[in-house]
Amino acid sequence: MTGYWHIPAIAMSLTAAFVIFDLTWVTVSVFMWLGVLGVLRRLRRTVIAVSLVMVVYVSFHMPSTSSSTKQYSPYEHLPVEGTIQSDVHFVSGKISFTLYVEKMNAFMNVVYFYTDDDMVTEDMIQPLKYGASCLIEERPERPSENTNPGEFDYSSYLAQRNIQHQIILSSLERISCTGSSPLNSIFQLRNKLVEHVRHSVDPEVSGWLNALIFGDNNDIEDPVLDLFRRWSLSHLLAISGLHIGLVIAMLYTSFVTSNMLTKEKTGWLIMAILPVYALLAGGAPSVWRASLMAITFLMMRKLGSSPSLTDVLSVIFIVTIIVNPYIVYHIGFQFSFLVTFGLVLSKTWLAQTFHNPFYTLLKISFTSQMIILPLQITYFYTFNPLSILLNVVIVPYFTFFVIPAMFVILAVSMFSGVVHPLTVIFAEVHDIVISMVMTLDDVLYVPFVIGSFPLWGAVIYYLLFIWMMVNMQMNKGKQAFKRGLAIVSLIILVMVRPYVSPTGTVTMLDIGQGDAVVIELPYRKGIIMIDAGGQLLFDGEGVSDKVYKRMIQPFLLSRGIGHVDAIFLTHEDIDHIGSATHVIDDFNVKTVYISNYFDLKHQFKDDMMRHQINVQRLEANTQLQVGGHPFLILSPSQHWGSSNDNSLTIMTTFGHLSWLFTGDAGEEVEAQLIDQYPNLNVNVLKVGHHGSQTSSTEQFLHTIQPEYALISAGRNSHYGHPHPQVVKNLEAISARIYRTDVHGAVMFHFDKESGHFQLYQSD
Amino acid sequence: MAICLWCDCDIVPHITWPSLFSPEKPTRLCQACTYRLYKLQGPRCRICSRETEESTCHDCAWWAQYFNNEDVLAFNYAIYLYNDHMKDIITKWKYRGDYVLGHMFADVFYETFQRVFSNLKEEVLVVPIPLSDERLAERGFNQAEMLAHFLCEQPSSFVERVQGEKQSKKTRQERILSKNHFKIKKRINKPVILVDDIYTTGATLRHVAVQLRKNGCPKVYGFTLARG
Repeated sequence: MTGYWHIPAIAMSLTAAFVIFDLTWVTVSVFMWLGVLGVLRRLRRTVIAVSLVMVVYVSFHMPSTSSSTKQYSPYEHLPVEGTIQSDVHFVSGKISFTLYVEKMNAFMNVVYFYTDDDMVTEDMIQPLKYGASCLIEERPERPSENTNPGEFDYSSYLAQRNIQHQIILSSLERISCTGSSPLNSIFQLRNKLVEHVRHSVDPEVSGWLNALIFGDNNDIEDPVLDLFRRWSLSHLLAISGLHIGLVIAMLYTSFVTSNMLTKEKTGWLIMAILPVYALLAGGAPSVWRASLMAITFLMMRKLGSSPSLTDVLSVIFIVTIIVNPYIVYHIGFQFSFLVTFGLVLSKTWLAQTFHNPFYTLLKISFTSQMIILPLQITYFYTFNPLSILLNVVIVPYFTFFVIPAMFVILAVSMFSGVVHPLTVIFAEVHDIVISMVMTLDDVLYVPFVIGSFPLWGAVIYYLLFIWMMVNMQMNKGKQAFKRGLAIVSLIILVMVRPYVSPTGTVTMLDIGQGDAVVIELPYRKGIIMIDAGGQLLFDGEGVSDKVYKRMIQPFLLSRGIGHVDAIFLTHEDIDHIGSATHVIDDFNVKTVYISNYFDLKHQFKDDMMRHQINVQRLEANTQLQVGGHPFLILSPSQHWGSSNDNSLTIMTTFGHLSWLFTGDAGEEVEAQLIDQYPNLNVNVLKVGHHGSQTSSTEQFLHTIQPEYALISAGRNSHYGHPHPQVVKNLEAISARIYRTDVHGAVMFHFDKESGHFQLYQSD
Repeated sequence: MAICLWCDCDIVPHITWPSLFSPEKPTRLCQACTYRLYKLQGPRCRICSRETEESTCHDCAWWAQYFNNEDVLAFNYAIYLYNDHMKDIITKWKYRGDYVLGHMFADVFYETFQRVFSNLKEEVLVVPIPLSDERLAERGFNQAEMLAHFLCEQPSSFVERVQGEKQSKKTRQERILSKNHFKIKKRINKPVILVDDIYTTGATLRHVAVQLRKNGCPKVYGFTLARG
C-alpha cells in the first residue's frame, strides 16, 4: 500500500461527492477507473481491494443531510436525559453545547440566550461541563429552516453535524448537570486561558491572540472578519499547518537549541504536546489534520521510515471519515484537506523555484485558492482574484511576525509590566497593516460575483485545473496558460448565464416584518429593488444588520448580483429602508427613487452622496424606465401627512401580468387610486401595509380584482399582520394569497409571454 | 513494497499532479539512484549520440572519412551517459555477475527503442553483440543479449565472435585498428539494429556492421544503453 494510499482516499471522496449530489450511479466511474489501473498493472491488487472497500463503505455510510425522519415524539416524557458531548461555548448573550441523548441515540443542540449578564451566575454555569450528565425540562424542537434562497439553512447545518433537534432553554433553572469527563479539564483550561488573555492583555491585541493561539474568534470584530473573508485571509484565523508548524519550530528551538533536551526527547515531547494543543486550540478539523500529520511524521521518523506526504494525509483523511462521516460536510474539513492535498501534489512544481521565495509563495497562494474555488463560490458566491496576491504578502507577515508575537505576548502575559509595552508595539504595527488592507479593500475590492456554481461547472473546472497543474509541473507554460484561459472562460460562462436567459424573476423576500422585493429583468437588463427593509434593535435604538446579512445580501450574491440599477424606497419606515444603507455600501447602486415627500435623513443622504448615487424624487403620474422596463408611479400626488400614506405606489408589468406595489399606503390613498384610475386592472397586488386592516378595503379590492395577492408579513407578528379581515376580503374576490410568513420567499419567474409563481416553502 | 535494485532502500512513489489519477509504473530504482543516472539530452551527435553542439562529432567525422564518406553505421542511439554511477552499475552487473540488476533498464530500454526506431517501416532484425564462448562461460550471461531480450522475444543470433581479447582492456588506437573478430553465418537482406551495453569508440559496432554490410545487409543501426 505504501505510496498508494491516495487512491482509496480519492475513490472515497469521489464516491462521497456523488452520494451527496444524489448521483450515486456515477460511482461506476470510480470502479472503471480502478479497473483500468488494475488492468494496466499500475496498481497492486491490495490497493484496488482497499479502495473498493472504501467506496462501498462510503456509499452505504454516507449520512444524508436532509432533515431526517428521526422525529422527537411530543409525547416523550420530560426531562430529556443526556450527556454534554462538546465544549460548552460561552459567547456574549449565548451559551451553547451539544447534548447526546442515549435513549434516542441522537444529538441535540442546546442553547440559552440571555440579554443581561446578571442572569448568568457562576454557580449556574459551573456544572455545564464536557461529559456531564444533564436533565433538561424543556421540549426539543426542530431547528428552523431557511425561508429564502441563499439564506443560511440552520437546520441542514445542524443536520450536517448529525443534529436533528435543538433545545432552547428558557431559563438555566431548567437544566441540572452533574459530573464531567476527564477531557473537560482541557476545555476548562482553554476557557481559563482565553479569559486570562482577555483580562491581562490589551483588548486590541487579546482578540488576535485568542484567535491565533486558541482558535477563538469571538473577540475579533465582525468588520475585520468580513474583511479577511473578502480577501481569502480567513485561513490565517483557522489554526492549521502554519500554526502547528510554528509551534513545533518554537518547541524545538527552545528545547534543543538551549540544550535542555536531546533531539530524541524533544520529538517525544512534541508528540505528547500536539494532541493537547489541538484540544486547547479548539479542536477544529484543520487543527487535528495538521497535528496528526506532524505526529505521524515524527512517529514514522522514529520507526526509521520516511513516509510519503500523500500517504500520511490520505490515511488521516480516511480514518477521520470512518470515525465521523459527518465531517465531510464541514467546510473547514473540506478546505483544509483540499488545500493541503493540492500543495502536497505541487511539491515538485514548488521545488522548481526554491531559490525565489516570492515566486514560490505566489505558487502556494495560487494553488490554495484555485483548488477550493468551486467550494468558495458555492459557500460565498464571490471570488476576489486579487486575494491571491494579497496572500503572498500577508501570509509571511502572519507567519514571521504576528503568530510568533502572539506566543511571546502569551508567554509574558503574567507580567503586566512587560506585556503592556510589547502589546503597544505590536498593536502599532498590526494596526498599520490592517488599515492598509482596509484601504486596499476600499479601492481594489472588485470581486467576481458569480452566484451559484453549477455541478457541471465544478466537474469541468477540476478537470481543467488538474490539467493545468500537470502542464505547470512539466514546465509547459504555454499549455498551462491555455488551460488557465479555459478556466477563466468557464467562470465567465457561469457568470453570464443570467445575461443570456430570457427568464426574469421577481422575488418577494421573507424578511419577517418588512418589505424587500428584488426584480431581475430578463437578459439581466436591470436589477431593481422595491424596498430593503431592516429590523430595529432590541433596545429600539438603531437598526440591526441581521436582515441584511442573513437574507438580503446572501440572496443577491447567490443570484450573482453585484450591482443594482435602481432601488425604489416606498417610504422611510425601518421595515422598508432599514437595509438600504448596507445595500448601497456593498452593491454598486445607480439610482435611488423616493417620493417627493420622503423624509431623507442626513446620514442616509450623506451615505448616498458618498457613493455618488443618483437620488430622484418622484410624484404621481411619472413614467420611468429602468433597463428598458417601464414603471408607472400612481401615488403620492399630495402630502398625505403620514409616511405610510406617502408611500410610492408603483405599477408595472411582468410576464403579461400587471403588478401593483402600494407600500404601506392606507385606505384613503386606495380610494384616491380607484377614483383617479377607475379602469385600474391589477393581476398581482402586493398587498398594502403587510396585510394590515388600514389598507386593502373591500371596495378597493373589489374594484381592482387582483388574481394574486402577495403579503409580506412576519411570523407570529405582534402587529397581527395580515389581518384576518383582509385575508377574508381577498378570499371573497378569490385571489390566490401568497404570504411570506407561510410560504417563505415568493418568486415569480417570467418571460415575454407568461410567468409562474414559485413558493420557497411549498407544502 | 518495492525495493531499489541498486541501494536496497524502499521505493516510495512520489505522487504529484501528473501521477494523481494514474500512478507511474512501479520502478526498480529509487528516485535518488535514478537521478544519479544521467540521460543524454539536448543537442547530440546525430551518429553516435554524444552530447555536442556539432551535428556530427569529430570522431564520427573521422569514421565517415575512414569508410570513404559512407559510414557503415547509420547511427547509434544511446540512452545514458557512461558516468561513474553507470560505470558502477555495469561493473557489478556485467563483470560480477549480478544478473538481476539488468532489469532496472527493462522499461526505459524498451520505451526508448519504441520511440526512436518506431518510424523504421520495414521489418528489422534485433541483433545483440555476441560474446566469445570463452567469455560467455566466464561471465555466465551476455549483457547485450539480455538487453535485446527486453526488445523482442527472439533476438537474431547469426553473428559470431571468433575469439577476442576484452575490448575494455585496449587503448583507443588498438580497438579501432584491431582485427575484425566477427563472422556472419548467413546472408542478410533486412536492416539490423545492433544492441550493446556501451558505445565507447564505436569500433565494435562498426566491426560487426562492416561484416553485415558485406553479407548483404542494407542498413545497420546501433542501440546502446550508454555512451562512453
